[in-house]
Amino acid sequence: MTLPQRVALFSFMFPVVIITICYYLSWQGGHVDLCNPYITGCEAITATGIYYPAAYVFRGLIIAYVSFGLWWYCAGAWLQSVRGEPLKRWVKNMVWVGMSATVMAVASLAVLGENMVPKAEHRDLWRFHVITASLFFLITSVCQILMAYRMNQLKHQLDIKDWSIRLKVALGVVQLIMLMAFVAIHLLGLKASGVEEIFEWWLATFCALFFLTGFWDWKDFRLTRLEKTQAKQPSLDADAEFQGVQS
Amino acid sequence: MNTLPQRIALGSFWLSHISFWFTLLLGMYLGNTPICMPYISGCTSITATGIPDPQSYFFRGGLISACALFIFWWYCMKSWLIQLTPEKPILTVRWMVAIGIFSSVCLIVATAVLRPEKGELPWKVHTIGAALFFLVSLLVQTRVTLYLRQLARKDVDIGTSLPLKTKLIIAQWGFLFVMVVLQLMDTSDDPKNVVEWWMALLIGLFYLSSAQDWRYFKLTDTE
Repeated sequence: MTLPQRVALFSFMFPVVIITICYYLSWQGGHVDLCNPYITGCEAITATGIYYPAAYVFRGLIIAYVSFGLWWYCAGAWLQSVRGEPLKRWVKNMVWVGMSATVMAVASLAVLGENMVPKAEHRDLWRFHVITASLFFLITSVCQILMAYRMNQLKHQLDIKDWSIRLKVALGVVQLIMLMAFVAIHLLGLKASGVEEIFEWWLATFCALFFLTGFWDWKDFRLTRLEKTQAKQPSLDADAEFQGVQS
Repeated sequence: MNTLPQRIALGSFWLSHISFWFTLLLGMYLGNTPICMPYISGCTSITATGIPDPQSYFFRGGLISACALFIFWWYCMKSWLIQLTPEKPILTVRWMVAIGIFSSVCLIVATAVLRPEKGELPWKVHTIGAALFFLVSLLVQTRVTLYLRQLARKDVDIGTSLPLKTKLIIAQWGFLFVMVVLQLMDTSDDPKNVVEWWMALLIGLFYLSSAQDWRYFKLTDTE
């Protein structure tokens, strides 16, 4: 497995594992109901990371957000390596904006904890959390759509399967539609119980799935020079390890 | 323009220490922390600056992100050492890096469990995590320094930071000795806090010191 593949896999798996553990801990503590939030919207993702000890584990997501930033770095390096020339300005900007969006995610998570309970007394904190989290999703989905668009432009040079690009486009567009619907619901006052939560779960899943798709694209992409050397000379690494064991 | 490994070395130091210093200043401004110089008077510990809200938000976000950079720093170190010594046993390098990453994870755990309600904070987890970070970091940084000395004796170009790294390690061992003495003497917290602040600074400076060695070290081809 290449380093970029590991980054893609980690960016998907780590949040899934963390949120599952947090959900379990919060349910054990009696703070959330055991249900299917994708359908009923019974609980928000945020709700799984409010009460201790789940909140401690939830903070581990900051590592995943840094990994998202690394994913964007890999994406930029990959697109650049395909053409062997510097990235176009807008692609470079896309990578930078995608990386910067993770700062929003870190900020939204850093404030979470029992300090936000009861909700009515901490409206400012909740507002801050919602704004930063929404900005993260919005910026990320726009960057993901642009990424899919650029991949479509380079599909002959990238040597990847069509389904990967189509899946990326679909994931990006669905995210954007969901965000727009979410805003419309709020503006038109059509807010119903559980709708926000359903949107949140699906948005997070689509966003993470997009990162996961890099796993199949980056099978032959080696990010670091060390990886490239080891790929060219696999015996050298094994010999060196053997010597290490003997010594 | 810095190389990517240089940026990671710079980011590791500055992100962690800006988080410390900013939370300290914010605490002073809000009246949660006495106005003082903790490196000299030990009036507060690093942990204490990151406990009350709203400092804890910056502390948590900044320090856990910095720990992720520490992990990347170890990956850079691994790539660099393997590049310098392709014919040497790589297992030693791999072990050093794995232990370095473990120390960062310990700090993540110690930071993640902080909360404003001091009475309910899992102190045991925090203390073990933080102590392991300081101790394991010192051990692994010492091992890296010794490894670099071995390479230098074989005329390998290891950059210019070795004398600085050696001084940082010696100072850290000195502070550790002082900490052990203070624990045995069962003194007040103030001198222990001074040691804690300096140890954190020295560990951070060790990460930063590699920036000068990595001026021409490119991690990726696209840099």
